[in-house]
Amino acid sequence: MKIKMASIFAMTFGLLIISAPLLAHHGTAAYDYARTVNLKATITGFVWANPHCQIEFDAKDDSGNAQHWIIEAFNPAMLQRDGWTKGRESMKPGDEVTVSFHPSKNGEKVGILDKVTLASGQVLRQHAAQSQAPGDAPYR
Amino acid sequence: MRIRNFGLIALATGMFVISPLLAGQTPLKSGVPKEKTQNSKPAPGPHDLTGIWTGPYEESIIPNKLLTPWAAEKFNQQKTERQVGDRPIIYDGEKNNTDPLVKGCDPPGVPRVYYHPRPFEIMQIPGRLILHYEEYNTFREIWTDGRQIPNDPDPTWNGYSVGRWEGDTLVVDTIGFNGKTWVDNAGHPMSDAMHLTERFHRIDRDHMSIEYTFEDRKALTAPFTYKKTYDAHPDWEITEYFCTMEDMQEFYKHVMQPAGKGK
Repeated sequence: MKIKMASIFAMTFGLLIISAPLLAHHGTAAYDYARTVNLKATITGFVWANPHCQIEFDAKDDSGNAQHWIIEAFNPAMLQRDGWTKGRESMKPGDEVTVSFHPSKNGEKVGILDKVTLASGQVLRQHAAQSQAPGDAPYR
Repeated sequence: MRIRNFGLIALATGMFVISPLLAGQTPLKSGVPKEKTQNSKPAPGPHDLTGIWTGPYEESIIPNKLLTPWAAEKFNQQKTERQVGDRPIIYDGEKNNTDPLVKGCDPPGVPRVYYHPRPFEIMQIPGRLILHYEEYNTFREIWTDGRQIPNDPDPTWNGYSVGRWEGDTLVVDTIGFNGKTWVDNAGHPMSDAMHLTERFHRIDRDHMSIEYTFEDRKALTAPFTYKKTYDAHPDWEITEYFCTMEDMQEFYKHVMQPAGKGK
């Protein structure tokens, strides 16, 4: 019985993970959705534009080496519905944040956003507002 | 008995005659903001489709087994970053990508405009429905003034649409497509022979269904029908979403091409 419950949980969770990467014109097969990387980051650029917003930041790897990343997020319209009410002012160069994202499979320093935790503690997510059709699994 | 049947027929016929007249009317009271009305009871009438609607992302709508040889060949030649069957995946954006939405920022056209989870707003005025889809800022009209669909309309991305009420369902016929867009995000092709039927039905205050029937003698071996439910979001606004090649190329240069390097 326990095993059965565990497999149902795994299946449901698996479906949730699979449904997330579908949400883009360009496809997201390049990203490793099984991995979520959390990095303390210093914002170096924030592009608030279609087709996708981009968050640029500097961070350090486990060995203390500096890395420069560019992470794609959704677009202004959808992010605003997800609570990014400050719009293009959501982040600015120099901001200290924590970025959670799914990295590319090939090791390049690019990825797709999961969430950003601002210095104030506010968490900016994506996909929350677009998953409300009846019978539709939430994207997260 | 015969008289009773006659009465029923007369009633039914009468409803069909009257219902087009109601098409452009809504039960809104003048001076009451739409949002307040949508959020209060009673629910809007069945012939009121006004509102801001959204549905989930859809990747593939058309079953591969219904494709004609012409359509199957086109489908198999598509190149995108999406994992579709054994098709090769590419990440170079505008260069070799065959998705018209990515390669040239082309309009998604009808029906593909529905399959990204962006909202669309339906406005009803006498003789017309105006649909404003956030997806690529798409504007579309559905004529409900009793006109016939033209025999051979000029080909367009969204086609030429005429609607009529059948009971509580608005049945919309569209022809005159240019055949340059895809039916869905997976890349199932459509031709200029597509005849799309949409059946709009307001289920309740918060829900509307659209049943789509695709008939395309060049691309499909048989008609295909598919139904989807959409949610009302009276507190949302349709915002600007244009596609521009400059923005698209920047995005590919910075993110998508590095992500796909070595693939």
